[in-house]
Amino acid sequence: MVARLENASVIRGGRAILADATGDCRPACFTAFCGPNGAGKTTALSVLTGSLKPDRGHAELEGRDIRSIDRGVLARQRAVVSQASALTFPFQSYEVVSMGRAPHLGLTTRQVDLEIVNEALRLMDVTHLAERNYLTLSGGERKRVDIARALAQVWDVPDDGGTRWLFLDEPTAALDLKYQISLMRQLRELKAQGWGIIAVLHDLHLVKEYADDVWLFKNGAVEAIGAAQTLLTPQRIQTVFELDAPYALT
Amino acid sequence: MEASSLATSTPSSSDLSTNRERIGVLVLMGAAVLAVLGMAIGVLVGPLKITLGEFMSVALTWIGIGDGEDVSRVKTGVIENIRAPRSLLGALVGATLGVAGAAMQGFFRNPLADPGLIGVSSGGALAAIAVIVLGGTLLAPILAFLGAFGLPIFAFLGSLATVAIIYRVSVFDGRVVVATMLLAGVAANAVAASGIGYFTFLADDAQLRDLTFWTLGSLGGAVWDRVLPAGLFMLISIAGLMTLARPLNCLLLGEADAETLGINVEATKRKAAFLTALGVGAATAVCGVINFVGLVVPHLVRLITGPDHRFVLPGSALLGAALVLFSDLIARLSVAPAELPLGVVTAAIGAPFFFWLLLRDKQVSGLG
Repeated sequence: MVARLENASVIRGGRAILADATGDCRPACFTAFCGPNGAGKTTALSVLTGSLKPDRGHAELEGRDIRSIDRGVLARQRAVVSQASALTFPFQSYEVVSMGRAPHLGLTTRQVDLEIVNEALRLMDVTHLAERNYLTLSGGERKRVDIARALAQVWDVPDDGGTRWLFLDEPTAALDLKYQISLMRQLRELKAQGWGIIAVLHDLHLVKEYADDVWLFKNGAVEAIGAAQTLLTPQRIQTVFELDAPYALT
Repeated sequence: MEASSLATSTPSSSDLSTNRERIGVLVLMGAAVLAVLGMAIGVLVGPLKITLGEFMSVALTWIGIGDGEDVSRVKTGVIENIRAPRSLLGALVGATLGVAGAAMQGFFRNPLADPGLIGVSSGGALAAIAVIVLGGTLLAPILAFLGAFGLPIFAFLGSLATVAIIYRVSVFDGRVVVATMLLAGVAANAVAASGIGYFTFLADDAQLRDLTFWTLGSLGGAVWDRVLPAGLFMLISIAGLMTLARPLNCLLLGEADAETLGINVEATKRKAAFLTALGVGAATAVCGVINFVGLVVPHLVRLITGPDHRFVLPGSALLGAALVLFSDLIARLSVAPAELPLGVVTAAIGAPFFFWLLLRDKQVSGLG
C-alpha cells in the first residue's frame, strides 16, 4: 500500500520537466526528494499528491489511480504543505489551522475538531500565535502554522485503517536551526506512528540523518532511489549536483 | 492541554465558540437591527407622515387581522404601493450588493473587487436598458415569452458576460493581477457607459426616465410588478452565496491549497460567478447601478469579524441592506420634495473609503 509514480511525465513548453518517473514511497517511512533546482522534485510531488495530472503515466495512492479517488476521501487521506501559502486575508493562525478540518465537517463533532486544532497548534509549537494575524507572522512561523493545518487535516486514522500521508515541499526553507531539527524529529515521530512522509529537502545533512529513503532527481528524471544512509555517497552527490569535487556528508 | 493564551478557544462542552465567533454573532445581530430599523423608518418617514400605529394597523391586515379601517385610504395606498415595495427593494438590493461584493472579493482573492467597480453592475445595466429600448421591436418575441422575468434575466446575462470577461482578462496562471482587474473594470464600465448613453439617446420618454437612473441608481422604480420578479432572483442569489462560505474560506488559501483540502475549486468559482451575476443583474435591472456598497460593506464587516465568510457573507447582507436603506432615506429627505440619485449618496460614502483602502494597501503590501 504505497504512494507510487508510474512512468509519470509532465511536458511543459515541449520540454519534459518530469520524465518517465517511476518509484514507490512506503508508509511508515520518511522519503526525501533531493536534487538541483529545476530537477523536477516539486513537479513529482504535485503528481504524487494528485494536484497535477501527468501528461503520460500516472500516480497511485494505495493501489488506486489518485485522480480517480473522490476529492473528499483523498483530502482525509493525504495533506500537502506547499512552498508558500497564497493567503492575503488577515485570518488568525487558529482559523488557518481550522481550515484543515474542512474535509471532515459533518463527519466529526465540533468539539473533536477544536481539540485536534489545538493539538496540532501545540505540536508545531505555535499555540502562543493562535490569535495572531497570520499575515503578520514571520516566514518560519507561517510555515509552522501551515504544517499544523496539514496535521489537523489528516489527524484521524482513515476508516479503512489506511495510511495517513503528509507531503511537504521544502518545509525547512524558512525555518531556523532549532525548528528545522524539531520538525525533523516530529516527522520521525509521525513516521513511527505509521504516517507516510514525503518531503522535498535541500539540506543533505538533514536528509542523511532523518530520512529513510531518498529519490535523487536530475534534469526531470529520477536518477536514483535508495536508502539515505547508503545512497548519498560523495561521488553520487558530485554527479547529481554537478560539483567540481566529491562532497562528503559528515 | 496547556493553559495558555488559547484559553478562549479551548473547547468545553458548554461553550464551543472562539472570541471572534462571539463577536461575529454580535455583529450579525447588530446589523440585523439596523436593517429592520432602516426598513421601518423608510415606511414611516416622508412628505406624508405615518405613525407606527397606523403602519401596524395596515400591516396586520396583510396577515388577515383587523380591517385597517382606522387608517385613511390615502395613507394605506402610500404604505402598500409606494413605501413598502421601496423598503423591500432597498433591503434586497443592499443585501445582494453586500453579499455579491463579499463573494467577488473571495472569488478574486482580493478585497478591491466590487461588482460596481469592475463593471458587473454596468454590464447588467447595459443589458437591461437594451431590453427596455429594443423590447418593442427586436426582442419582442423573446420578451413576450419571458414575461416579467425578461428584464432581470437579460440583466443577469449582461452581468455574467462581464464577470467572465474580467476574469479572463485579469487572471494569469491562477493569480489575479489586481491592477489589470481594476483597469479591465474601467474598460468594462466605459463600454457599458457608452452603450447606456447610446440607448438613452434612442429611447423615448415612455421607455426611460433618464440616464441618471441607470448610472447613479435609484429605488424610485419600486413597484410590485418589478420588485417581485427581480426580488426572487436576488433572494436566490443571496441564499446561494451563503452556502459557499466554507469553500470560499478555503479558496483564500490559494486555489492549489483549496484543491488539496478537497474543495472543488472550479465548481465553487462557477457557482460564485453565476450567483453574483444573477443577483447583481436583477438589482441593476430595477434600480440602476449603485456603486461602492459591495466594496464598503464587506470591508466594515471584515474589520470587526475577520475574514471568515461564515460571518462576512450574512454580515454583508444585513449591513448592505441597512446602508442602502439609510442612504435612500438621505436621498429622499435631503432635497425633498425632489430626490437625489441613490448612487450619489452611496458614492459620497464609498469613494473616500475606496481612497483610504488604496492608501492603506499601498502602505501594507503594495497592490500586489
